Amino acid sequence: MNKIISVSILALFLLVMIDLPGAEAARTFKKALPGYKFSFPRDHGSHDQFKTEWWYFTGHLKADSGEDYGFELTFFRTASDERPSDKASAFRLDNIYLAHFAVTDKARGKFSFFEKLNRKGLGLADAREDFPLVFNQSWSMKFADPETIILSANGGDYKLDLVLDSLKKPVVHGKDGVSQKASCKGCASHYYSLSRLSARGVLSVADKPVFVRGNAWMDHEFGSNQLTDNQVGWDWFSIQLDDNREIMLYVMRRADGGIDEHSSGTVVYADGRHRHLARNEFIIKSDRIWQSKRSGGKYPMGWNISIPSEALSMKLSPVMDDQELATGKSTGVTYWEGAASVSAIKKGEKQSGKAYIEMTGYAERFRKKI
Amino acid sequence: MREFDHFLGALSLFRKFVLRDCLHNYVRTVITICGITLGVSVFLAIGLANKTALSSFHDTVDRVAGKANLEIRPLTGRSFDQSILTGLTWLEMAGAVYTPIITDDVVMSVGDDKSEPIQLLAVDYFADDAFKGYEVADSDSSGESPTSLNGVFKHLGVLVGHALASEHKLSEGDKIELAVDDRRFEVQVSGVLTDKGTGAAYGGRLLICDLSLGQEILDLPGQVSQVEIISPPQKIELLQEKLKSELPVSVTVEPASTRTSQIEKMTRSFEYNLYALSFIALLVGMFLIYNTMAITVIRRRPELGTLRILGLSSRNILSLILAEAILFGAVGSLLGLFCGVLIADWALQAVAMTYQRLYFSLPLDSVRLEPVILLVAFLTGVGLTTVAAVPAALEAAAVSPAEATRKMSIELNIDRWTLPFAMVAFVFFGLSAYSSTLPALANFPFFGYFSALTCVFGVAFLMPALLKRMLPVLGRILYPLMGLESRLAVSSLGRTLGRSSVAVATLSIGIAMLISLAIMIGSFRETVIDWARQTLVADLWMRPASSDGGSKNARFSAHMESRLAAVTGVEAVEPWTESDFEYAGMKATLGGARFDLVEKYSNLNYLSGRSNREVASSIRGKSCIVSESFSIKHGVQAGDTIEVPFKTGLMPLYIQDVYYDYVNDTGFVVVNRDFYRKNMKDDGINSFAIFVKKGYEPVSVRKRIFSELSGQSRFVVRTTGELRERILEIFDQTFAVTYALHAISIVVAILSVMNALFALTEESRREFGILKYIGLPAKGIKKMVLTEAGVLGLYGCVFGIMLGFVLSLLLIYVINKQSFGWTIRFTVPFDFIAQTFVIIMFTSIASGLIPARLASATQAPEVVRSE
Repeated sequence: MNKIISVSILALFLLVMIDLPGAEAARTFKKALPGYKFSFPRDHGSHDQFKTEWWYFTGHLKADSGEDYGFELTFFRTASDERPSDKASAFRLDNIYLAHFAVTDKARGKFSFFEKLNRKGLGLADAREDFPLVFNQSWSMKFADPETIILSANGGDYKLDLVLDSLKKPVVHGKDGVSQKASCKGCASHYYSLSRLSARGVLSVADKPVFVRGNAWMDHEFGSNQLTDNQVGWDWFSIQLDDNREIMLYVMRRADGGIDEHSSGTVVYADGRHRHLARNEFIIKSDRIWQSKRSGGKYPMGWNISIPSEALSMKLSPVMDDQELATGKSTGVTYWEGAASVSAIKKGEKQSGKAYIEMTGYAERFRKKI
Repeated sequence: MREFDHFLGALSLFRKFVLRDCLHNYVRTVITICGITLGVSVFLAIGLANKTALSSFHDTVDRVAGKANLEIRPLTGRSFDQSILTGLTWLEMAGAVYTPIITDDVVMSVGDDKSEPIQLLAVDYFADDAFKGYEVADSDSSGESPTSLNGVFKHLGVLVGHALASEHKLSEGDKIELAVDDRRFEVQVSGVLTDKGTGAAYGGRLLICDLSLGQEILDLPGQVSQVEIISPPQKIELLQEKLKSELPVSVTVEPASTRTSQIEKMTRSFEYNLYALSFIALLVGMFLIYNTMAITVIRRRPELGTLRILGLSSRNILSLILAEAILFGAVGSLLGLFCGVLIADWALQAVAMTYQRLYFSLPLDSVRLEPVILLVAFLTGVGLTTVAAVPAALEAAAVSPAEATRKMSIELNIDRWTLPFAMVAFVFFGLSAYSSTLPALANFPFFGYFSALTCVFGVAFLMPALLKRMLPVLGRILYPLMGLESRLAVSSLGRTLGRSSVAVATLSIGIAMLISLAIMIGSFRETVIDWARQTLVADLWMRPASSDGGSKNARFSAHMESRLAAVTGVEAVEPWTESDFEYAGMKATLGGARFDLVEKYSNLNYLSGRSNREVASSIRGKSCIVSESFSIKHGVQAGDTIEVPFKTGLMPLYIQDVYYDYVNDTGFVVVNRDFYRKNMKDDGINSFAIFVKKGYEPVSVRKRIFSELSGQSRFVVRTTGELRERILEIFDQTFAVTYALHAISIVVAILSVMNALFALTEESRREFGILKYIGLPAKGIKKMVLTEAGVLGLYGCVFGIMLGFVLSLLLIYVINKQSFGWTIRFTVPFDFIAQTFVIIMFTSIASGLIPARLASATQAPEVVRSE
């Protein structure tokens, strides 16, 4: 669900900034309402009747030669409020495609990120409605079959080609097909995850290919109006424990410093069953603050998460502190998205795992924009 | 040390011998320097104007292309289908990035009824940063980078070039009205561009917007104008080859610089012809120098002899005289640089319209001072002056010490030289005749100009022989009419044949230039008037308002044809569509006409002499007619088949005939409208020729057209009379610079007559003294000098007009034909020639007034004593 807000904010910009003569009332988009029935593989593709949508991959890779890498590859689609007069142009900006690619190179202590921004008409980007294929220039996500995804991206010294096999069925978050983000009607999204993907492929670092293996996570979410004005940012966690359980948690932060009651989560069991976690079923605390030199944003680090109903208590530590993305060219949003290691205790039994964490709304620049 | 003394000595000699004399004979000095100044300034002004026009184009191409090193452009029409883009995605794998551009000229309305053509450049706001050549001036202080998405959406209106913005005080939020085709389009200003990068293209008079808005403004759905590609340098050729093999033949893949060299090739004729014309002033100036220096040497023979006695070698004398010429050259050229820069802006305005109308639409506001051109102009001035002084300097070097005491001069020798000179003259005439038959070199009539130049030299060399024969004849005619003084005048001129010849030759060359240009322009104008009368037979002419404002590609939509035809009083409507295409690497125009209507209503004239009806009825499918310019430029004729790029591919077209046309010099290929529509995929119409039913007044039909159609469309309708007037207006504007140039050459020519008369008077002082001594009154001497002036003027005119006729034949049938490919019917502007004759005679005699006064004031005893 994590990208909800960045894309929603983007949508907000579109509304606010396009102040053109003759612009008609905003295009009406379909709302994410309860009762939505997911159907796969159809729902892996694009849903252009909704305003915003993203396909989001994170993962932890280990090279045959021993190095650890984290990656994030995200494809966004956002529909602008199409101006009435430019309908004739194939270059019209009714759908804009953005993408982010980040690599956490633990061995080199280096975090790198790249971005893309394109429209449909030039043949440079698309998200197909009839087929689970999304691409932005040479970056792409494609379902080869209902359980297998092929990913490619490159930037700077890095080039990643992965084959992901889903080990569990899609997990639909929230209740009755919707993940509610605020109390208003339609302030929600349709949101599912492939919470355990086994990954194998090739990562080229400075033109040297290395074989990599690991675990990845996919989120796919679409909706039209998730956020309300008093929500300033969110923290999102995807945790993969070694005992084959996965946990997704998100916390919506309010302008007054409180936590929105619509924050929630999901726990996925080893056999694929899953359970919705309500706001009051988990507690998240952080033990320190890291300040970004780039943006000045102060991010919490070192999270202690407990889920009493699951008798689970976890400590999440970032692989490195600086995993902040300043995406000036595409979304214009600065956020922290990074790999973390997990040590957990369940019913007195020690466990470990991996996590990916996203935090938005901490950089000053971001606040100012809101 | 010795060298230094030597140098000081030379300097002192130069000061005493040259400078003092220049100051003493200041009138002659001033005239000579004026001549050089005029020549150099005109040459420079034209040079700067041409250079500015071409470098503006080069600059704009560079700024728009930015870092792109390859470009996909249409070979035909103004755009191509955007579907090409989907076939380019592999470029990324090859390490290249690319972005499409849509560009065309639109007309911006400024103030009441005023408009100006500006360039609209639609780019991908999301394009790779490497393509982002423009910068938006920050109006708010949020520090928001325009490259962020936020900024992008803020800029969904148009970004306005800095020059436009400051001129019309435009800022964010303002609305501007554009005339596009026959539509009106209002856009909002979303920012002002800085004068960096692309923002400085088109002189800062441009609009930048996103692709989607661009397609919408220009009504070009699904079309792009070009694709810019940044390829890794080592892969350019590889990618170019690959793209060429994959893309349709209607587009080309080339570096952006190709467009610059193409435009240079296209404008070469126009540019070089201007240079050639401006060179005339320099050439006449050269004769002036020759004249001055020759006379200096003659006048100062005794001094030169004395210098020889004092030990100066003939080489020293040679250097001394050349130094004097270089001094004249340097001073005149420096002043010429100064004046040239002053008049360069004017020259640019004079040529700008022609460049813009015929070759490219770019604002040309003020000249750029190119140091190279300044240097070339200066060196040309000094160089030509020096070359012109060489004969006189050689003559001076040949003066023997013994001549110090004699005042007799070369005049004694000229007789001996008359015959050899005449023989040289005939060699020149032979060369001239031969070279006039040679073809153009790279589209430039090099041999035509060579022929003109040799003809001019021929006349100069023949002059002593001509005058030797002709002067006595005139003397016999004048004597009974004007008495003794006239006879004395003629015989005096005969005795100083050398100088008289130079003076007459200079004047006649100046006059010849004037006359030949006048005949050429006059003939051309008559031809165009005639052509317009015969060809423009419709009653009304209609085109979109924006094309009147300077937008070349403005079109009506196809349904206008039937609407127009339905207006009461309209008998027939003939639509015309055109677009540019490339043929053999050069731009030409492809036209689509309804030949079924052309056959019935129009009246085109063909080289073959066949009737309009006969030719027009045969133009269907893959056959065409081409304009005379096209035929000459590309060496094709009726019966040939040419391959023309259409949107649907290369088409072989059979040329049915060649028609006379004076609209442009790049040439037309015209096919039937159905064929054009089908293969160019273009339904638009550039203009309509409207035929009015019998019994209806064109003006009242025009009113009806306006009342019925102006609600949906903005257009201009002209009557045929108004159209013809406009054609002539454009014609005269095009030739404005030529008129100015030939006026300047005549001024230089008149200066040389004055100069010659001064010298003659100076030379003849001895003679005047004796005449006075033997009883001729001062009034008689005055009359004699004035007669001399008149005789020089008369012969200058007679030979000048004769030479002018010959040169005009060269201009019309060789130079113009090879440069532009227009047939011009030879017509003689007798009234102009008569006027010129009167003015020259008057000026010659008037320029003799001062010398006459000086001569009549000569003291008799003084000269007699020295005798």
